[in-house]
Amino acid sequence: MTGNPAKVALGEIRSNELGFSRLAVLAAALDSYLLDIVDVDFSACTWFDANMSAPLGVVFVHALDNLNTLKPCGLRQGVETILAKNHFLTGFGFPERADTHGTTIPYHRFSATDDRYFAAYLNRHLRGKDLPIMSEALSQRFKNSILEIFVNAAMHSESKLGIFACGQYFPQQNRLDFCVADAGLGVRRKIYKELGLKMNSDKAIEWALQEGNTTRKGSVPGGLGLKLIREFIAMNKGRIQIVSDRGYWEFSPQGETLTRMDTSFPGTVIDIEINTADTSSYRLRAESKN
Amino acid sequence: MADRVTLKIFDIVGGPVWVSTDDGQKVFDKIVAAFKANRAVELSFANRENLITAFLNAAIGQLYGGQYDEAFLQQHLAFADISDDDRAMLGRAIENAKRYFANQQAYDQTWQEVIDEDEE
Repeated sequence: MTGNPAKVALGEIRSNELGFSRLAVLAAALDSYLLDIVDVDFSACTWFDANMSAPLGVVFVHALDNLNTLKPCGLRQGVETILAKNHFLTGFGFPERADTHGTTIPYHRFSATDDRYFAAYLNRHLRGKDLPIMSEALSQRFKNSILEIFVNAAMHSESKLGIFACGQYFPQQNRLDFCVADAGLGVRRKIYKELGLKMNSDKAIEWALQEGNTTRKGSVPGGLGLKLIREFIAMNKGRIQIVSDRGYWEFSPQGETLTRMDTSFPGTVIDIEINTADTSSYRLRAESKN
Repeated sequence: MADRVTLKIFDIVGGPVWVSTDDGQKVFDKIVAAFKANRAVELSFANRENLITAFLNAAIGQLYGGQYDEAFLQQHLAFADISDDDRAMLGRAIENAKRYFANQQAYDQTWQEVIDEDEE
C-alpha cells in the first residue's frame, strides 16, 4: 500500500465474542498490508484482558509474516501496563514492567515441537507464589487441560507461525484465564483437508467437540482431551471458549453458545477460565454411564 | 505365564513430561517389542511430572486397536507406581480407545457435510 500512513485501530478487548470479533476485524484490516509500516492505534482501547494477548499475537504474526512493521501507539497507561507486564509489548520497543502482584502468566510464542518447553513454562508459572489459593488437585487439572490444548494445537493446526499462550489471574474475582492460540488452518479447513467434509466454521467446532471425532489418521484414538476439559470446566463452574475461523463456541454456567462471527479469525483460539477458589475434589471420575 | 519385564516411561521418554503423541508412540513401540519377545510388561509411571490423555492415547490406547484382545492385555500388561488420579485418567483413555475402535466408521458417517452459501 502507498499514500496515507498505514493505520489500523483496536477497541476494548475482553474475553468475549465481541473481543474476538474485534481481533478478527483487526486481522482483516492488517491483511491488506504488505511491506508497510503500520500504526496500530490503541487509543480507543480502554481495557485489554491480558490473556487475549495470545490471539492478538496470532493477528500480529500474520502481519509480520507479510513483512510489515507494526507500531502499537496511543496506548492508555492501564493498557500499556497490562501488555508490558505480560511481555507482549517487549518486542515492539516498550520497556518491560515488573509483575509485582504475581498475577501474570507471561505471553510466549512456542513452536509446535515445544511441548516439553511449554510444560516447563506451565510448571514454572502455575506453581508457588503466583497462584497461592488453588488446591493442588485444581492446579493439576487446570495444567493438564492447558497441556491437552497445546498438544492438540501442535498436532492439528499445522501452524508454521507458532502457538501463542498467555494467562492472567484476577484475584478480586478468583478467576484465572488462560489462552492458547495458533496461527494455523482452523478447524473447518483441517476437517476438509483430512476428511473431505465441508462444514461451516461453527459446525466444524461442534464436530470437533463430539466424543470420538478426530482428524487424526491411523491407529491412535483421539477425542478425549476436550471432553475431559469440558467436564472439568462444568465442575468448576468456569468457562471455555473456542474461536476458529468464523466459528465461536462458549460453554459456561450461563449456558452454551455456538455462533458464526462476521469476520474470520486467522487461526484457532481456546480460552479457559476457572474459578480458583473452588475447593471441589477434582479426582477424575470413572467412565460415565451415558 | 510369560516372563515379565518392567518398562519405565521416564526412561523411554527421557524425562518426566509425558504429553506428546510422539513420546506416547515410543512407549507403545517398547510395549509391542516386549510382547513380540513373549514378555509380559509392567509399565512404571514413577517420576512423572506431567501426564495427559494425548500421550496415553498413543502409548496405551492404540493397543486396543485389534492387534491384541482384551484378555491378552489383562494378562500381559500391568501398571505400577501410578497415582489414583493417573489410574483414573488411564481408565478413561482405555474406555475411550475401546469405544473409538468399535465405532470408528460410525463416527465418520454420522456427520454429513454442513455448508451454506455464507461460507464457501
